[in-house]
Amino acid sequence: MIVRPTTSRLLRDVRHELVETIVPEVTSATAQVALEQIDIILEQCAVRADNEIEWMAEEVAEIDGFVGRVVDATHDEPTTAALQAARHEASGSLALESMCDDYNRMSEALSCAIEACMGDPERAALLAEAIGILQARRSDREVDVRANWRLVGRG
Amino acid sequence: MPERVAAFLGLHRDDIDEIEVVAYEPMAGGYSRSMASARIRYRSGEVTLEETVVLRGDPPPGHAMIETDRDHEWMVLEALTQLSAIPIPPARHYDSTGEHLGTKAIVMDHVAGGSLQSLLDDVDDYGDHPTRLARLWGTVHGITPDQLPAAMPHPGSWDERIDGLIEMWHIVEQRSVNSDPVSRYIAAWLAANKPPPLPLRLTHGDPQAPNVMIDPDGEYLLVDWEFASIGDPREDLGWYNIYSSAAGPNLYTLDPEPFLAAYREATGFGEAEVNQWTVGYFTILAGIKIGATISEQLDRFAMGENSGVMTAMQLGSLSYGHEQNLAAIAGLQAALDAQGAMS
Repeated sequence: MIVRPTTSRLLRDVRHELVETIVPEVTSATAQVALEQIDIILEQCAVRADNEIEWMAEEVAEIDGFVGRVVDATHDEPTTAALQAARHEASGSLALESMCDDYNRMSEALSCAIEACMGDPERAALLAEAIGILQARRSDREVDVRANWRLVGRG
Repeated sequence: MPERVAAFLGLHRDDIDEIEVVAYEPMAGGYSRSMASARIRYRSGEVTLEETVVLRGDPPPGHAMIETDRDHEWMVLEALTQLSAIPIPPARHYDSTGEHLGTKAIVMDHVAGGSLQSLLDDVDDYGDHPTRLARLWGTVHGITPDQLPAAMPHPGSWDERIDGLIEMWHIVEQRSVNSDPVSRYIAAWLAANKPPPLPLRLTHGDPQAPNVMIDPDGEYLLVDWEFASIGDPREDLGWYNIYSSAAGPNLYTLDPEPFLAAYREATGFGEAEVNQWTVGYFTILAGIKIGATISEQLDRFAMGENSGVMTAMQLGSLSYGHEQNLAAIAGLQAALDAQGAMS
């Protein structure tokens, strides 16, 4: 397959065409708002196209290691079961849909680990580590994906 | 559509010889509903009058960013009109079946002055708007459950209401196509750190500056009652805070203490219940009420059952919520830890 220009390059070119050629011709206020929103979504798609498979793979590996240590420390049954399911059912495929399924199953294991650690002072360090994963692996990357997002057309 | 509007208005005005819609224009800015303004000309004998009304209806099936119940909104508007305790633009008529206007739709008075959001966007000095807004929310929270229609859900207790909202974080996550450890962490933290209770009151559900209109006399009028419910009044303070942090200015965080003092004065609530920590807690908790409908629509979008650029835009809203809630919990937990270390 022809891989370059990359998906993100193509999407950003469409954005450029929209902003430079289409938008100046549009006079309807509602259509202008819709075009501004489309521009935002195209940029979000470009960021995801460049990164999402790599980011999910990294996070799956990190959660696997962390939740394994929670299971060793707590023997919490839901966490153990969720981790076993995530490992047993992992496809190992880089196809996007398969990767989403693997990511979801490992995310469930992280949720169970957080619930197992909440409110127990002896597990405070593990909880802090889980929050660190939520922040660095999930929230910070969602900020990157959000790109130029803003609430267009309000008020 | 103009002909339909004229015919529908005619059903309610047997004193008019002729009703004509002389201008009809969709309105930008209605995120949850389809909105339009219509300029109406009434002719009776030799007298001709004109006015503008607003139509607020459901979008076409499969294109809603948020599904809400127009019957519920009309019921709340009717009750508030009778109470006359909260300033709202008069709601005129309701096509409860969509047989006249093509979709369930409410016809309301048009407010000529624009929204508080538009005003704040154009000025640098917000004057007394922060405390006025705090008092407006306080006015809403003066309405007690016994003043509201029996058909509205009445929670049995404060704990039932709060536990129900916390449970919503779980339910939404479990139903979603996305497994979300951030939501599960939020739910677990909320359950472990409940604040002191307040009496249940009417809550607007979506208090934000774009939903405050300013009439030509400069008075506030509160619109968009589709999310109104009976709950903890601080749910509204929390929702105002999270929404206005995303689309400012945030008149609460600008200077929280005068805002809260004005609110406490309007409601009679105490400082133990209404303070920056409890507003922070409800900023997190209340997000699920609208977050749930957004998440549901995005799930339907993912499964090919819904579409629309407005819905796709809400991916940003959810991720913004993640970011804000994680930061808020970190701050609130630090305050609790500091309090614990001192005691």
